[in-house]
Amino acid sequence: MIVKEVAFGNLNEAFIEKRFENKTNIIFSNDNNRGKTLLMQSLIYSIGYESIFPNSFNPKKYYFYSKIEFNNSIFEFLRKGNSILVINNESFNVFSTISEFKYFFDKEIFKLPKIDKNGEQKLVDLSLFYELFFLGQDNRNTSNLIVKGQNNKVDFLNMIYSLLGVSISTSNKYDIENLKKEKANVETRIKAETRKIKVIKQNPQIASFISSASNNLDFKNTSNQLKELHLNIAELRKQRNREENRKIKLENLITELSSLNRTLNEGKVKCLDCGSNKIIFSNEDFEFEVSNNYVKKNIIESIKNNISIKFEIIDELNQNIHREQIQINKLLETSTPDIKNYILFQDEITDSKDVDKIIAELQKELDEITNKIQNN
Amino acid sequence: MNYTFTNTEINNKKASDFETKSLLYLISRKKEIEYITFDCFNDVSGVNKNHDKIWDVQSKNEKSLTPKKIGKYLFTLFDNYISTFSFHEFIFFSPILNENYKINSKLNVYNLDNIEETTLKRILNGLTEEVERVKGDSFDYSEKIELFLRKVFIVEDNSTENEYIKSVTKFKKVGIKSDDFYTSIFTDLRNIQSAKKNTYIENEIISEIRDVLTFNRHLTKKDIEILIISRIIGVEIFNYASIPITFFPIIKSFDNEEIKDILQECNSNLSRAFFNKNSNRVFWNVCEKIIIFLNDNKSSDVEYIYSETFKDYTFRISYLKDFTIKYLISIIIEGTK
Repeated sequence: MIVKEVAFGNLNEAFIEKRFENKTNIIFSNDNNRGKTLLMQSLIYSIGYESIFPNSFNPKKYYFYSKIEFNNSIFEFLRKGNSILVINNESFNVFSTISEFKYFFDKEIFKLPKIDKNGEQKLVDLSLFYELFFLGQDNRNTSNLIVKGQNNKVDFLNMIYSLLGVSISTSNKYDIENLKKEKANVETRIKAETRKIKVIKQNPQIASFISSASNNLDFKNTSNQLKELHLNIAELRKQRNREENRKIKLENLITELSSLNRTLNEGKVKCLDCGSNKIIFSNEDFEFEVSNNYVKKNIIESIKNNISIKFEIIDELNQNIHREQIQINKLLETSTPDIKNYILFQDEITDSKDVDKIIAELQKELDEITNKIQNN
Repeated sequence: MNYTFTNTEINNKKASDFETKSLLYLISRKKEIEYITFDCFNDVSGVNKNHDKIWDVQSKNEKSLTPKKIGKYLFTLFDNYISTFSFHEFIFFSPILNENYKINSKLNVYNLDNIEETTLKRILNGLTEEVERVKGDSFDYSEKIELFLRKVFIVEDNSTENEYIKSVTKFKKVGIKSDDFYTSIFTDLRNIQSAKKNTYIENEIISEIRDVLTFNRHLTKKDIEILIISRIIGVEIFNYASIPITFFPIIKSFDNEEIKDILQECNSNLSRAFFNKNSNRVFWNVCEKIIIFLNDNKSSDVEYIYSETFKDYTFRISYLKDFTIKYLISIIIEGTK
């Protein structure tokens, strides 16, 4: 990977760095706060890394560009928010999620390693992958070199093993019985926590703990932020719904194609002389088939692949929605609970927010176990 | 208790494979050839557009050919040489010959000047014997044999099936990394070729070269190209992550989400075309029209190509029109660049 150019900015302010050469480059400045770190973070952000910019820098306002050579092929990347545009030779790609970009990266730029995550083999996240050669500076804290994202040290090690072709079969020999027991366990716990929510809902006083902020001082500020967050969530939901839609269409397409394929096998005709069933009816013109079994099989596989990419995209969008919702919840927190009621029900529940979180985690655990059972 | 299959016709596949290789050799090396006939003039023969030149091929997939046998197998080529039709080239397609026979053993395509003296003599004998056996000794063919032997070319088979297929068209095959793909095409061609031979033309007479077309034992170069290209397109469906540059002007007025939907629709429609036998002929014709138009007109303007190629064409298949066809045109342009 040879970096040719990096640039970031918008209509008002921008910085372009073109002086890179195919040698060791040293970026230095004779004072602090000149933007050295920003430059490096922008470079890696433009190709899909997480945002690790300092708080004083709002990446949503800027565009991030880089020109990089991979294997003698030049790629240009332009990122804004979570959309990335890629130009290479004469092909031109637009991705509105990092997941889509990741699959493109794996297919066209460099084959990414796979690790075991949540019970199945998945492509590593670009953020994890880039840590092979990029040490970010998390929030200006040099002791925090590895960004704490969704991946941990074990994932990093597994990725290295995967790159070197060593397969990790950590969870291949699962005892089905144990897994099933675990699954039943988790399901019971989910039921218990769900019951707690019911209790909360039945007692409106407690429900009022999660009420809108009533403090007048920053009410307007809060309501504006709320509006923006709601808009974001609506946009994300729209996007997610469209992707859902596309995924469903693809799933229907597979069913349609399979049925088309089946009707071909009806009414087999055999040649009397040689017994071959490769008969093509010919009148004056000889008719050729535009595809064969190999091509058809390939098409189905490509569609299935697209469907699984869509699953991941939808997942990513859901996580983004969830993140915005957390922001909303934070805003909505009130600090004046009705003390008497709080004490009364303290033993059973503390806050429905926590219960939500617990249920979400339990659900994740349940999915993981189900996956392991399926893959065994 | 197990049963082993013996006494099966093992030579059938060997011979057919070899004939398909000769077919591909002719198509890729002799640019003038318009169509190839099977088991008519010879094992495989190529004919040009004006029907006045024939490239004749005798293919023999025998492991260790002796010079005498080579001479014997040259008979059909010789027979065509002395016939009334104007055969342009005579080719003996065989596995790599024993290097002792050759003067320069590095060559794979050569005429008999590259054959050692003694070997040449034996070839001559083999041919002469065979001529006498079939035609009797009433006429002395030695002079004609001499002249004929100066025209014969030997082409040795030294490529894999996949390489023969790849050499036919320069249509881009970037994403295809599997050999199985090319093997499947080779098998398709071989099966078509064999099926073509399932008619009876022994003792039929023609007065002009072009009359051979009536027996329908031929494949045009265009058909073979389209066969290969359509499969390459098929295997790439839904693999296209990028918007073909030539397709961009068609969709640039739409917003991002609509573009995604359009692309998915186009890919879905093309998959239907590849799966539905009922639309097979239409799809083939569509591809053919586009490829022929692109061969004569170097344009990248998809709208123009679309309007010119399908000027008086009525689209009868619901999933093969408008955007899907334009998308197909873009893919074909990208592939032929």
